[in-house]
Amino acid sequence: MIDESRVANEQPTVGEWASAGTQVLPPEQRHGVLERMVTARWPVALVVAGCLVGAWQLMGALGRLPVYVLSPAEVVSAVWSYLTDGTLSEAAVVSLRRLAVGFAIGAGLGVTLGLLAGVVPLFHAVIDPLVSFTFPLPKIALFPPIALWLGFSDRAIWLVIALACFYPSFINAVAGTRGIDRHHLWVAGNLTAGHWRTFWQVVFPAALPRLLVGVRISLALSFVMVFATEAISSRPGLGSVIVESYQFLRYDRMYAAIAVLAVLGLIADRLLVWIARSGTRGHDIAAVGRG
Amino acid sequence: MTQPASLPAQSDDHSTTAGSGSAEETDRPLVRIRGLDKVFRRGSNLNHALSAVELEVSEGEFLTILGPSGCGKSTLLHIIGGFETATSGTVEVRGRPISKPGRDRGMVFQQPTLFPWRTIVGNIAWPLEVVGVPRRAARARARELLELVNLSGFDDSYPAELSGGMRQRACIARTLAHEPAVLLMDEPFGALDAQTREVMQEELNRIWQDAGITVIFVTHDIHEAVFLGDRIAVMSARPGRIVDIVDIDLTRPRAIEVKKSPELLAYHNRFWDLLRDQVHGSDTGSRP
Repeated sequence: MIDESRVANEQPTVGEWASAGTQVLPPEQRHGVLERMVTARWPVALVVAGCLVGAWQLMGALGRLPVYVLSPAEVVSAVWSYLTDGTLSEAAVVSLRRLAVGFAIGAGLGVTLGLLAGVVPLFHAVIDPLVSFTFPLPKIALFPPIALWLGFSDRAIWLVIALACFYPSFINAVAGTRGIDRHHLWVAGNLTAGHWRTFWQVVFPAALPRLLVGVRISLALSFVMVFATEAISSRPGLGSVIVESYQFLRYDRMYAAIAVLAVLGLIADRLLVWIARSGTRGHDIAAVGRG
Repeated sequence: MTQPASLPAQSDDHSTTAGSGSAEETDRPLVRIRGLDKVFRRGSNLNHALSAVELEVSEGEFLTILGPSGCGKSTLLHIIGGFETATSGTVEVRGRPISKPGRDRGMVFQQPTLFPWRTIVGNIAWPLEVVGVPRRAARARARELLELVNLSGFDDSYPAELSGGMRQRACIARTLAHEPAVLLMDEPFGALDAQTREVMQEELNRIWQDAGITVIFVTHDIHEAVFLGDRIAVMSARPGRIVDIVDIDLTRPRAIEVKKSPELLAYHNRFWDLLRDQVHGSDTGSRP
């Protein structure tokens, strides 16, 4: 009744699978150059950005910009001169160190406690109301009282940045952990995987994409907070350079410091996204396809 | 009935009842369900899902459980799997009462439950890694299983890159990896399109025969139940009871032609009569 040879030799090719209504993409898809640029997205973004900067530069060259707006070329040359004379490079190092410490403490604690709250219901019941009630408070508002305690010191700045970074990391770690597919836990249970293994090899990787969203928001917040705390405390750093330059009408230095802060933020964000991608490859394919 | 296992290392790790008389061993059913009741309680509402279910499944058998939607057949499978607990009654696997999930039972769910963050081969190797099999050996074994379910060449793909049918094949392979005494399948092809489902039914027949395993397969599809099963346990509408157990007298191995045979049609009509009463019963009966 059955064709034995067929059963024994059945080795489906990719083509057969594809014809059976599967969604497997052929390994190579041929596009025209233009189509490929549109699909890849970044060349389009580059062209658009180039046009905007070009128009900005043109306005500057024609003298159509207000005195308080510098042309891109002027900003770039200001960045170069203030970086080489040490003003901005020193400020940047100091600011980066502050935000790195604050971010590491805040996001680290947020992720750790968030994961814990996600898997220990009792701990969630204790900490969640606390977090929910304090979440809407702008953390920068706590800088003055903290300064009463620690002075306008680096430690006070670390604390405020850490506070701000804690919330997005915590909230998303909780949501990621609690939102995982019940069936994945059943699979682990079926295999009698231990608690540690289930946590590290099932719960954590399942929660990782959402968790990283929180960490990314924390990272962006750490840049906001380092500027705000330095601007308020006048401790040397990119934030205070921006505010002082504004007060002394040194617009070139102000824009240069803003540009450096922006580029550092961009690099930090890209770096995090790049690390995150390599850790969530299977998830990304599920979300947007193999990129 | 089943052919010798072509799987290497079909171990007897799970037969912890070593030493006793072998005659009794072989006589005893692999799974024995006695007086199983399940009542769900939500507030003051009681929902009677299963009532006095009696069932025995022997070693190497392919049993299908056929019943109308919502009759509690998935609940029954979840209880056998240890994911839910019975209100009263017992489930024994190889003579040992079970109360929680274990590696002697392998569950395949309706939705593919592969870990999206692991490659296919990584998913299938996981059950072995859990018990300490070295990574290389686990992966080598996973590749053999991929061959068994006709997924060779997709080792390093991620689940999201596979079609629904292929993911379900991978799920079956993963479940086979820990060599369960019984495979519990909860409408595993329910979410697939009609053509893929047909292919998968044929494939499952072949895998079952090659691997020499016991299967309890839940479905509401009469064709599927008859085509796959050695025996069919027909369940009533809620509260689910076993109303009939029928031996399917179709030759094995079964190919797709069996689906067009007059014998299958006769079985289909017989089960449809049984089920129709149940569906009507549940439609007109009092439900919360």
